[in-house]
Amino acid sequence: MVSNIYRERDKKRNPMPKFDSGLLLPELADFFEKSFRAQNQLSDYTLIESSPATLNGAKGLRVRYRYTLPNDELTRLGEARLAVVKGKLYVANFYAPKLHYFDSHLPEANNIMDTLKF
Amino acid sequence: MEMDEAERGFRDSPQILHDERLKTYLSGVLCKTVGFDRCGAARIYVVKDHRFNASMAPNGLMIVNTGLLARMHSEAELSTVLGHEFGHFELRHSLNRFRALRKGTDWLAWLGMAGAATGNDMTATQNAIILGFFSYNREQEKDADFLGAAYVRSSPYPLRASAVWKRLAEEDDATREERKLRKLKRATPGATDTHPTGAQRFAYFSQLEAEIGAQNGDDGQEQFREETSRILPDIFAGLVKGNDFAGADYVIRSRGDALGWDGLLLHTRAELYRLRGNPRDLITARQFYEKAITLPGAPPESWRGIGLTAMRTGDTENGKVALKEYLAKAPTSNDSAAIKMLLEN
Ligand SMILES: [Zn+2]
Repeated sequence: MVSNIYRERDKKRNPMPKFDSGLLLPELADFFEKSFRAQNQLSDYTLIESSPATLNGAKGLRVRYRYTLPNDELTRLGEARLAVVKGKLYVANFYAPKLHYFDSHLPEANNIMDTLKF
Repeated sequence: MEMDEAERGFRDSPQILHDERLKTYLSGVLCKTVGFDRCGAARIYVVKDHRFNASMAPNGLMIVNTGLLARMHSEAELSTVLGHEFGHFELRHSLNRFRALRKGTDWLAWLGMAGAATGNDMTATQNAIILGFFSYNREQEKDADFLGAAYVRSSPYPLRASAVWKRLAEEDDATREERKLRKLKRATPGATDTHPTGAQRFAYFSQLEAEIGAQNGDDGQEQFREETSRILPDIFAGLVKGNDFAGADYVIRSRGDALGWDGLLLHTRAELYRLRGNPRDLITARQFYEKAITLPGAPPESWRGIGLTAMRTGDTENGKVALKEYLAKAPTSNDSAAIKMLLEN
């Protein structure tokens, strides 16, 4: 497991936030937001809700969010699950355009997250 | 001018900050700058973008980034930027460029041009809305600077442009230093540069500001502080949650130094430190949060910040007290369930 969610492609111009295993549960949502913003160069990201959830049986967080990509007016939604196991962060993330795609694929995504093993 | 379909899509885009009071306020500053007889040509939209930028399209659509508002310290400073963009519009700069390339004169073609200017072909993607910016040549930039300054000179505002360019250079230095990038030499531009350098702008604006009468007028600083403090989280979100710590800290500090620190601005700085999260940052962040709640304007999230930083640094007991206070102040916050779970453990 790497120390950041996304691989750092340009350390100098677009550094990725470093994961710290000392982060408290609610802070995983903050860390996810910073990483997701940096990875996608987002200016527009809104946390809808973060709440307790499990991932592979571990206590973790479910993060529901809304965002838009630069130069694109589509509203997009996402749902991620994060858990820290033995100091390592595990993330499962599903995101799609709100219109047509997100709701129709969410049950399938949730099913995968519910049964994910690592 | 009529609003066409592309602009309607733009207006409804989620990247637009929908705040009527802010739009009215910005239109008011533009009108005071360029004159009430001219300003009606512009329709202002505020875009959620942390970068310093504004633009105006040939059809009158004017874009102001939240990142621009975060970096301004008064109506007078803002008037120099709005005046500059309006200058491009009055001089028909983009239209000239447009015709030279023999594209149509419709709005969609302009979008295609803007895409070409930003290096992305936007006409190829369906649903694309350009939030990019038109690029002008160096002479046009300079002309717009001087026309903008002339507007300000005949407006009720004093001319305050050089300070903006000085701070942009300092912010860039701060970013480069942190990222261990080479600092820019801010001398004369090379043959391929499309803009006057910040140093050149600083120099000619300083000269204009030294002219008799240029400093007369009211900066509109208090009004600016009030209108932007109201929406501070919106205009600072991208900076605080971005990955340019030094640049963001520079922008926050310079606003505090110029306009004073209220609870919300200090909270914003605390968030920046907590989110970077070096061990030393957590202690600094907690101090900022604790000071913020003694000032007017601190949000409930300041107690969240105190709680999290206290717990991170081993002060679990006080941390839990602060988190309970946060839940009491914001019972329906979007992370209350996660906070409750932390409290139970
Ligand atoms: Zn310009």
